[in-house]
Amino acid sequence: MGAIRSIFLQHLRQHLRDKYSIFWNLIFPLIIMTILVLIFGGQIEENVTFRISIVSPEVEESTADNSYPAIINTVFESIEASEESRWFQFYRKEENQSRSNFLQEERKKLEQGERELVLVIPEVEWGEKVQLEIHRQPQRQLSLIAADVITSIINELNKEINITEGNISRDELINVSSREIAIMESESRSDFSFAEFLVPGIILFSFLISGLEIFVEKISSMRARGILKRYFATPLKAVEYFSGILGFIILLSSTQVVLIYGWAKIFFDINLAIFRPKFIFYMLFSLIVSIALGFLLLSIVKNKESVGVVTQAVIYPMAFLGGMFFEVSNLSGVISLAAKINPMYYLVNGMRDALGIYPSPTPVLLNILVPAIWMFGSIIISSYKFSWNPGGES
Amino acid sequence: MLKQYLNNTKTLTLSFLRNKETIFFVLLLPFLFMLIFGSLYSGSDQSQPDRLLIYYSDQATIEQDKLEEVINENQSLTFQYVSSLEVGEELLRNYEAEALLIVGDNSLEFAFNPARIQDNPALEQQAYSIAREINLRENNLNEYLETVIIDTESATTAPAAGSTQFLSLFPGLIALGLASSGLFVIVEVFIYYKEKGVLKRMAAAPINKNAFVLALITSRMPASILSMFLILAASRIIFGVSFAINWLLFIPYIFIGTVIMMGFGALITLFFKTADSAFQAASILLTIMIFFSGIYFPIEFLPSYFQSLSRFLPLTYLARGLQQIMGVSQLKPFNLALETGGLLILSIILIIIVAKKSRWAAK
Repeated sequence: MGAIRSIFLQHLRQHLRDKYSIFWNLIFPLIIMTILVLIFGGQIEENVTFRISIVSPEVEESTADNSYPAIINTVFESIEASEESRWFQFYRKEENQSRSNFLQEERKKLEQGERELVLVIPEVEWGEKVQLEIHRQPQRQLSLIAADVITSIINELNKEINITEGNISRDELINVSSREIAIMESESRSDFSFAEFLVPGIILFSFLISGLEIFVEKISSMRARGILKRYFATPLKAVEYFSGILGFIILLSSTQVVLIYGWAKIFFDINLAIFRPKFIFYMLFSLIVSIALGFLLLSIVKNKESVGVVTQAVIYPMAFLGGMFFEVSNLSGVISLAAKINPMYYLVNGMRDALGIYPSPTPVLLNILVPAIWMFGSIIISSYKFSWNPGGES
Repeated sequence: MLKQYLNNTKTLTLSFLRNKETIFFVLLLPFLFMLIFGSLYSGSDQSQPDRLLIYYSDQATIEQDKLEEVINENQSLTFQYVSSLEVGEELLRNYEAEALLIVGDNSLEFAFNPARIQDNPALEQQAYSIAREINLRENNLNEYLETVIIDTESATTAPAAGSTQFLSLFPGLIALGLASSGLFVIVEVFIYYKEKGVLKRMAAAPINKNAFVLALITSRMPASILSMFLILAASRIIFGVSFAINWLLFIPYIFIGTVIMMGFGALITLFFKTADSAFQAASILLTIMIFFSGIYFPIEFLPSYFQSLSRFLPLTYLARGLQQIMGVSQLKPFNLALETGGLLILSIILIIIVAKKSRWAAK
């Protein structure tokens, strides 16, 4: 027991002394989570403003009320006066400025990224068809979205004009609406939260790093420097060494879970019962699978330098194609197959299901079976190929 | 001096290319990211039609033929009928469809899966265009206000086909390859080599320092070029994407981009004393740059404070420059020259400072 404790404390002290390890293992997952929630979680909507130029015809005040341009301008003015104004900033020509000059300047600003869209309204009489030009910059996402938004506004306007013209009554129009489906019908909370969706993925990512990077790096480094060979020349047994390092990995992983949960709770207001037995089971299972994969890597790749490279080459596809950060159902071909045989895909599905965040799109049996196959496969291969001292007599 | 330069270049290039970690970060990592993100983005790039489920409720008033006619005209959609709302929602939840259309009493309701964060805005637009078309046909509405979309195109290069986010990925990954190739070199040579006593031994030999620094810069170019060709070839073979590349600008830009990243590495060298801390700092900065330089997510979608941060990252300018040169975004020669020229001059100054300041012999 004393030996296990010593090995455990040795790794713990080493880790605590290394500020870069603390960054990569404890802080980096929080950074990834924050970035993804800020980008995809709808937390930054207040920062988006569409800068739109409205190029109206030079109409006389007296005829303004009878023209489409005047109606369109009225609609945009009402948007400016409403709560929706935070989304838009409209630009119009100065009184003494010519329309063609204004259009030229605004198109240049669109090209330079200073506008998201230029709306050109031609001058026509009431009742005639109007062709509105929407100038956008297809290379910019915001410009594409602005074009969609303005098109929707124009469509609504068309409906209103049809009603005003007596072509149709409001009741006859087809009522169009959209909604998001409730994800967990049986749960009390039905609202989908991307932050909650992400938490199990980030926890799993941390475990993957613990098993495939920290564990593998520590053993391969000590193995390469011959330290393990010297350790095992003492009464220290391999099983004691492994227990010590495993204890350290479990402590590190628990700290990661607490930090990730605490961070998401404080900053993203998540509401997850992470102490549910089913979720705890999945966490333990994930950690064991990750460590088993680590042993597999150490068994196949003996050279320390190669181990580092192979580890990185395995972690990134496993994480991104495992659906840890976003769902991967729309993949196709070989990449889709890589996702389907990835044990992380099933583990993260199981974890989200266990927490009541998202019902598993894969059967529960597969969520256990596929990672278990990887785990037992790794253990079997490692039992034949793994050596604490490759190349030596161990 | 020329002979020394050539010999040093050969030695440093071979040493660089023999390093497995280097090969991974410069060649394999951008390639892996291309496979992963290319597949994810191409999935939402209308390469496969979106699957629409239709549920006709008992109160449905809209004719099935008219609805099918409109949907069939939209080539980016396929549809199937479901027998109940529950079945439709279950299929949506299991990612077996992208949207569910519920046809009711003079009403159309579209339901989406909130977990499909990247796809939903485009799906919603498709849904509304279907509804608009049905409204027009069903009620014989007049379209008083027609809209015509006019895209502002690049004056000098033809934009490649595909969604912006998908296409921007490839120049971004080439920029990542340049960053991996250039960022660590100054740290490696002026701190790691010094710690290992390599510089001390070289200082004892009749080696011209300027020839050595020039050789050092040149030695990273084969890796940058290899990385660039790998991404270009793979993008064409795997994703069928080709770019309207301005080769006269592209090739020099690969060299310049690598030197700019070397300059950024030189800046790190000025602040860190040991090789380990300098390498770690470079890794952390590279990771931060990957997220905030517009490689994977458009910068304009980042919160304003991260957008401000992106302006201080050289990878932002490298990715933007490559996007312009590869025809993904509009070429702005003046801005490109100003940004690239400014960064290049700054980088050369930094490399010279580090080369002059660095003692070749350890204390």
